[in-house]
Amino acid sequence: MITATTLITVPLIAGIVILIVPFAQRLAGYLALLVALGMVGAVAGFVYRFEPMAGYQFGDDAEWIPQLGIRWSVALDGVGLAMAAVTALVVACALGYGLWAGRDRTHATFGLILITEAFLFLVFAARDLFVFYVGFEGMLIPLLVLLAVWGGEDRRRATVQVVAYTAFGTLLMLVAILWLGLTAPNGPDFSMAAAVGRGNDLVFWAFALAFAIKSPLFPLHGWVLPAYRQSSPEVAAVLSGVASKAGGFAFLAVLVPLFPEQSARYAWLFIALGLIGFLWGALLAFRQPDGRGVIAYSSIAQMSFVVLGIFLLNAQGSTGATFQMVNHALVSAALFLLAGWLETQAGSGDFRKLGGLARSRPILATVALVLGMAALAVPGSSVFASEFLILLAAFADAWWLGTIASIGIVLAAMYMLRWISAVLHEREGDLVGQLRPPDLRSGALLAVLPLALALIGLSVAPAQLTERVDPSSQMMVSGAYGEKEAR
Amino acid sequence: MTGLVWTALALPLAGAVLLAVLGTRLPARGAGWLASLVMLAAFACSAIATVMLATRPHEERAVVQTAWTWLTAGSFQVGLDIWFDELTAVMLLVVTGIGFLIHVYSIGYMKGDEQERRFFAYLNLFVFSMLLLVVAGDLVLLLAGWGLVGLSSYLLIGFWHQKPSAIKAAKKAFVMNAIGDVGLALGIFLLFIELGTTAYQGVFAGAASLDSWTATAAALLLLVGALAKSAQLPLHTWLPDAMEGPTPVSALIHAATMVTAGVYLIARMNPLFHAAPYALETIVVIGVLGLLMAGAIALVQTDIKRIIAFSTMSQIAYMFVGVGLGAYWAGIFHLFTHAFFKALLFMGAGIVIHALHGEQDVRNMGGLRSVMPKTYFCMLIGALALVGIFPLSGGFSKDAILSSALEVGTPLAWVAYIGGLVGALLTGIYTFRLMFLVFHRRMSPYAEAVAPKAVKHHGEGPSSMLWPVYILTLGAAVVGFLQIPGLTHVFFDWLEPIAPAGMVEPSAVQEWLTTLIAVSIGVAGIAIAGHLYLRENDAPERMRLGRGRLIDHALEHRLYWDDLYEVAFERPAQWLAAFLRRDVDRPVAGWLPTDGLGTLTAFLGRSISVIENGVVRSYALVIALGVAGLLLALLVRAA
Repeated sequence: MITATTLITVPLIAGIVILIVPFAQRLAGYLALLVALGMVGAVAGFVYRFEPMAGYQFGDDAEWIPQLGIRWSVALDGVGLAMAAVTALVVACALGYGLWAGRDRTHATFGLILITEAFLFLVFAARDLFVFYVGFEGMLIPLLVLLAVWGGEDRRRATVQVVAYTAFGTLLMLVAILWLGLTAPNGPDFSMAAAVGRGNDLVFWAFALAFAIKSPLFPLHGWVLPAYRQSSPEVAAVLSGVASKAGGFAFLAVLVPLFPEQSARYAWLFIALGLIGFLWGALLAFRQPDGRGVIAYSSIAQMSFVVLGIFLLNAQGSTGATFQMVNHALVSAALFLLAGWLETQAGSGDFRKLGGLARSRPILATVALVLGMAALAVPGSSVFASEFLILLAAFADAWWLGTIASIGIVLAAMYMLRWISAVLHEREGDLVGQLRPPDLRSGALLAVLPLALALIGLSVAPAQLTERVDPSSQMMVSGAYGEKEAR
Repeated sequence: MTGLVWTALALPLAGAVLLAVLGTRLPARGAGWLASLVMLAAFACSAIATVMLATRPHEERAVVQTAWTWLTAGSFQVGLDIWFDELTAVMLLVVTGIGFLIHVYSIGYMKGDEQERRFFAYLNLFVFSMLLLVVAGDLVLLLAGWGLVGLSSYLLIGFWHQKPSAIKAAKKAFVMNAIGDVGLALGIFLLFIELGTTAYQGVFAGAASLDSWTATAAALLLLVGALAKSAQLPLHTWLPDAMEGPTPVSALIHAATMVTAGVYLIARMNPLFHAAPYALETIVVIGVLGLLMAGAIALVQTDIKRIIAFSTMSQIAYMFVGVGLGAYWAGIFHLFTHAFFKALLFMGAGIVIHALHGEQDVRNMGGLRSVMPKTYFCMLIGALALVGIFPLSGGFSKDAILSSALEVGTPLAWVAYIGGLVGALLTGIYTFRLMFLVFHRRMSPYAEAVAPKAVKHHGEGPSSMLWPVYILTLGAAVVGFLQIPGLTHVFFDWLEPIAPAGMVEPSAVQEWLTTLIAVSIGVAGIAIAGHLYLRENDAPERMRLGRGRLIDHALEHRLYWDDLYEVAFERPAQWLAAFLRRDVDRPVAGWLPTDGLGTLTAFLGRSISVIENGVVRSYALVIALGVAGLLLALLVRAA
């Protein structure tokens, strides 16, 4: 029987095996890809079997460390499943890209990416705070190694920044988790249900800080740019596409349900920071000199917008935020893969050296246009659908809030159009002639295409996602979550 | 019947996808024919559906059908709805009919361009988007179509993407339309919050129950979208630049269909606007100002396509006046006739531009009447229709708008009436300035060197370009007869059911009186143009309005709107972004981890003095030690 535990154990074990066993380089890559595709299949099965109204599903619950009241408790609700699904897809595409690009020490890179995936699934499925912590902290380690060893020239500095930020945040969270677990009324109990409503402000802020750094929420975004610039394309795709979603997901699925009172009291602050970050990231994206810079700052903007949506604490805001996370995962992963492809083929991502790429490269031009238009949320696209929901929720909260936030939509159009024309249009840059192969083909295309197709599919029928997510996300922000969960 | 509408909607999408996927596997000529065939089929579907609609009794003519639920969250729900009624039918016929002709014309126009397939894929994509806009039965879906026409317009304006000016124009159009989209979206939010639905049925039913402030706010927000899409004041500056696109695009998107979407929106949402009289008055004011301003600017432009572009803006302003006065049928009627004669003028201009090897400056034309008699005749019909000379189509529709102002009779309506008549004078002058400069007078040296040779070799154009023009010429001449005051009443009767609160309808006397005045004024305008531009010794580049250089300068610079926006928005935004990046984000975001936390980490690492050689590892050690210590403490406590 495939359960949530399977999602975690299979990539974890497979990752370790690939890491250790001396397969042939090529074989290791294919094995890793096979496992990742298997995960896509497993999650697809969950999506098919999922019952939107039935709460947490596919779960396991067993004693783990009984002395501390820690249980291996994992299950997926609509929000977790949506995140798990997009994670499986993004990781598979990232692995596919890495396989095509050819990395030295294949065992290590692919093994580590699979281990990251396992920990990410753990975050999205955890029903126990300690288990959640293991996933939240655990996914960082393989990513850091990937960044520190396979990153760009300035990888050391980037790694220091990421460690400094994220380790600081999670350390505080660990203390908070331990406090919550050990002060439970009936002896140590780390289950999330038992923690609902018990935390004080200090505990709340310890959690909030860790999640805000991970998302990242303005003004804690300092680690993002170096990390996204220095990672290899597939790691950047995993990092910005799905690892950052652990932060947004945790806000919605952990912080808000566990601290309904504080969440409501401090919602204004998160809304304000989300709003500022949304506009801030968009403005800065507009001035970046290279593709990765634009995507990095647009990611900051988008994730801030997600946090804004979550703390509106209503149905449209929370469902929209979940949907937006899925969309952004697809968009940013695909864009990072594409930007990485351009860099490796042309030797630089600098806008001044690129340009004019649309000429006689119809596939590249089409893919870049589709992704660019999705990123700027052209009406009718799935990103439009999710942003529409968040803006609607913001407007319902206060008309001026929705109105100011909508400025970000216009800014997004400006910076994405700038990216599109800097890459595709006008004069051909100096480096363009060096592209080999000249057009996007074979492995690289196959890696990006599923992401683009997923976006198109979600544009045709976004309700397929929102219908599954909506009951869960509504429950999380309704404040009634605790009673139901504790029963 | 709805099946046919769905088919008409799906066909261009299928065409676009097919063209994109097949790509170079398709012969270049085949792409154009495939795209045109798709359009013909879509037109046939629309026509049959319209006939079927006409056979139904009046009260059963608004048909709604949901394909699937598009988006849900909480109480918010949007279905993939189509709404098929009389207004939809008119728009469907215009979009697919004129669209088909322009597709065929494009086969000739784009021949030899190495990117023909991409062009037709975009063109089909545009038609799909436009059809989605007009058949949508839910405001969110309308917004989707609204945005997608903006997207296809962006793609087609920037079609020749190696030209920096084309890309700049495309981006400008997209961003201004994004502002409009946001306005429209905010209006939809407000309506949903007040009414709990965004489906047309619910909105129409609930509009009357809105308090007047809410209704006015919602209507004005929708209006922002309409102004951007229809290039009306103050969101009009993208339209002249959009002429960078290939000429068939200007004819289809920036004359016949997309830019009239604002008029459609207001007519469609008439129950809401009915509840918001201030919004309607705003529309009239913007319309009158716009038609005068655009008409005046058209007087001094020298690029043939830009003259027609400003004319388009001016004519759409007339339509705004019409719908703003509550004469929704008259606004749509003008939309209908305008689609014919304006597409005709653009396509005629395209033939001229082709013959002159891409020259668009009217000062380098002249005397082409003798070389291109067919084009001249067709464009003359179009020009006369535009000026509104009896009995061509433009006159009937424009006079219907103006005489509706007489019927309304308020002071504002009188202002609209007078303004509209002054606009008719401007129309006469700028239209025939164009005609005289292009077709009459002595040939310019450039035209003399190029045109006769080109026409000798290729004729005036391939038949794929000429036949669509002939058909439009016929249309521009006769479609006005649908609504002859006192005689035929087809258009009004057809559209009457779309406005539950009724529509303004002038009497036959008012209409004929207005026609008499307007035609005289139009003829006077033509005479003035003849006086100014037919004399050989006059320098044609300037339209002198007096001794004052100031007015000339202002008109040539399009009344400084572009400069205003640059100073007010563009430069401050650029500056702000640069400032934030250089002086705020980099120091703050960079200092905190590297210098702040980094120093702390290094300090901790050193003080532990176990590992000296790496900040990262020392920090990892701190974590590990911390975790271990805490766990230990816990274990002790638990035990």
